[in-house]
Amino acid sequence: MSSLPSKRFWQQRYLMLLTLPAVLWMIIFNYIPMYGVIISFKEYTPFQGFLHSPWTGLANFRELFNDPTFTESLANTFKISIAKLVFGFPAPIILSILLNEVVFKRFKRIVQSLTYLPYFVSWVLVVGLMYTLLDPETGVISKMLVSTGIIGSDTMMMGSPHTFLTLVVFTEIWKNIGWNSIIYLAAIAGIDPQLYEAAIVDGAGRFRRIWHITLPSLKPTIIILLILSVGGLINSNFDQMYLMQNSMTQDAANVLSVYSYKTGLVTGRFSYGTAIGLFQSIVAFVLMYIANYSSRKITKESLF
Amino acid sequence: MRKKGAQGMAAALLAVTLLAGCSSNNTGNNANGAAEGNAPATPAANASAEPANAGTDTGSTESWKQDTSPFKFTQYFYGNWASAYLWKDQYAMKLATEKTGVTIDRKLATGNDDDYLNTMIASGDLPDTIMLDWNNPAVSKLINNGMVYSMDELMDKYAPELKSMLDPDMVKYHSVNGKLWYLPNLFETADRLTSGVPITPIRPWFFREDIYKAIGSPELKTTDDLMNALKLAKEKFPEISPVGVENFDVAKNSFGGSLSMNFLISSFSPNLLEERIKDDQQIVEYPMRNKGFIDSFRYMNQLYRNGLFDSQLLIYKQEQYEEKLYGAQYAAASQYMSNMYTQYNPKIESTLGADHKYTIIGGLQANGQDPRYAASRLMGWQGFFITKNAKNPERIIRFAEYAWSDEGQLDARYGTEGETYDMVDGLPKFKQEIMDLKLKDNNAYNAQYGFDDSTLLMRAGKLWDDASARDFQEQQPEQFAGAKLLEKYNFDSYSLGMDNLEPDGSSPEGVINGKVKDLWNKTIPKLILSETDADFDNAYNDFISQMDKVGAEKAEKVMYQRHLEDMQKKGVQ
Repeated sequence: MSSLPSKRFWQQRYLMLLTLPAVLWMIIFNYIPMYGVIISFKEYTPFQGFLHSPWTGLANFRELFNDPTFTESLANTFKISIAKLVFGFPAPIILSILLNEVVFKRFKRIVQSLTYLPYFVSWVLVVGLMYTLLDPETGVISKMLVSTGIIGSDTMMMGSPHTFLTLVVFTEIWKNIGWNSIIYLAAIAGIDPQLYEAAIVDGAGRFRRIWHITLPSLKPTIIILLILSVGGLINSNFDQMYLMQNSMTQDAANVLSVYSYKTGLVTGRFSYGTAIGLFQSIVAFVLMYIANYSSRKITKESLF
Repeated sequence: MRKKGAQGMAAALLAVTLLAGCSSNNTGNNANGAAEGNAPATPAANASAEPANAGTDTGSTESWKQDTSPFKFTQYFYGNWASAYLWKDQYAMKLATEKTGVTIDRKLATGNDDDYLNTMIASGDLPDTIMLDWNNPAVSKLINNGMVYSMDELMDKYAPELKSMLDPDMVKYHSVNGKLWYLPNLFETADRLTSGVPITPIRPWFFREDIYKAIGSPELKTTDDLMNALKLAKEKFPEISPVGVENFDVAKNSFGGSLSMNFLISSFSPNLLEERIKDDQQIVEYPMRNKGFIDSFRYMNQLYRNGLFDSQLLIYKQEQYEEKLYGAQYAAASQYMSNMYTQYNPKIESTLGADHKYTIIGGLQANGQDPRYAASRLMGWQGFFITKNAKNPERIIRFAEYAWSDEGQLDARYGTEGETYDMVDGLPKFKQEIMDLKLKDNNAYNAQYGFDDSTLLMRAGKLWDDASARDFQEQQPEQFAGAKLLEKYNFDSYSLGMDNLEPDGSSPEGVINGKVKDLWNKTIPKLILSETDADFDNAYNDFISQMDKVGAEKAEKVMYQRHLEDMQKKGVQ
């Protein structure tokens, strides 16, 4: 009995070897730096270092919960993440199903490639483009929106807390929809064609086939990705928020990660910034755990 | 995100380490020869230089001459805009290397400067030297964490000459815990207000000449005159933005938000500095509590409500503003005096025509009062720090001695006599072609000569201060006239003791101060874009109550203590 696991290990030795770099990467970049979170319970000064800085217990966390900016950034984070989840999560599913139904293969490939492309453009460029395209005086997109009557002629898209959320969600979807649809397309490709053939024989139309075959087959994938997204609710995209923040939108764009960066690195309150980060990680973990648990109860699908 | 931040930090550090690793060999072979060859020029310069330097002997005792073999040290410069300061093969840089053997491997932050600096401090991975604004909150961290050498220690050991060259007033003002921890550049002496180039302590506002003429050259004496002129300008030139101001960022530009605001603030609240000091309550108030100060924002709000202020300016980055200014797309615009005359106007003249140039608006009265501009001699700009990471502090402090000496100052400012400058009536003067380049194509001048950009350890000295005052008057009559126009509103704010008041960033009051600034930064756009007076008042009252809630008064008490200290250090108790 006892030799069994080691025998299996030996049989899988090449596979194990292949995962080794990834495991090392995890240890070096995710586990070793974790000891740094102790500074959130200290008043860290570089001179005294991680080990010798004085302990302050929960003082940083106490301040956190009395800090109006923190509360505001927490609310913003959830607001933005939930909007992204509600609109952004179904988008790639819909896209992949639509693509799957396209008969003309060449067209399908072109659309697929075009929707991937934005994923490889960095946020710096995307936000730079947005400033140019949405400039009320010279921006092409602004002009189009004005001429179709969607916005008023003097609307400053990038400088208004009202349009901010829309822009955040829209650009996020635009940028990631193609990339995120890959995994669904792969899942769809794995569906047994016999199921569709049988359904056609039974007289099921297109929508019936999508509803009764494609979607149920995608369910495990959707659930897993949903669980992961719920865990990410408290992490809004730092790059995007930081870049889209300006003096007009700073209230709307102040999310936890930006706030943590600003207090920790820009003003040099390392311990307080770390406390914000630690809080964020714990909440993320709890959220993911809850999502996983409820999914296991309700749908019998779960990540762990 | 925290994890991502840590990775970014690691990557940045890695990049720094790699960069520090690659150093190219520099030619220092003829360094000795060059130094000897130039020596005769020095005593002559010394003779007419300021008396404070009487201790500088001729030649042999100068410590930096002991070793002029090739040597390179790294330096972080706080200010990511300063690409002109990077050592390439500019004339002034080459001259310093030839004489001393030293090359400075100067680096700038790739993104936000405070972020970059704090990352270096947190990881303890500092370059050999740092040039950092002496009143930056990180300075006390560097000193208290024992991350930098004290200048006294290094000077006593390696460069006693340097110690005797330092202005005692400067040493007194800048010492912390009884020691000097950095060499501050641009520390100006008491006679600064009466000698040298006229001081323009604010960013003036300008009107485009052709527009000003087209609306009938109305008198611009008060803030209301300006408002009316802008209305006329908008009527006649509807496609032009009436007003241009620099970007708003309280963290960077202090409480005025935009550097352009100081012009208005000085009009609406001429006695702001005095009014902030409340001896009876032992506080120095935040300016936001001052009525006149807020009135200047009310004025901006009026501009906005009259359709004269483009709200885009609130989200513009500096570059976007500059681009529009190069295109002369504002009827009235604010800009740093010397940039307007040496960069914008020449460019506008050559691309759009001389009539599109900007002409200065004099000081504006508000509520019947003349403006007052708080002019003070500079207490210094940046400090030169030598960190404990420095591999060879001995060479570095000796290089500082060279840079601080009259010889080093002249090398960095004027180059070589006979080659780049001549002595005219006892004062150095650039060859005319260099002067022309400096005034007409400043970027090319910096790239080719790099004068004033090399050691950056500029200090006051009668020789070059007089020379630059003469050049300013002779070569830039237009700007000189502009400076004179505004100079009459200057007053000496030195003795008010209002320098460097903000609490130390790592103290609890510093944290409060940070929050107050953050709140104010958010409030400014609300004030300027208010649709009614009631909106304006609501936004303002909200801000005051929030500011009180985060504990502004505690910071105001600390500012009062720092105000007393400032007076004491200046000896004006």
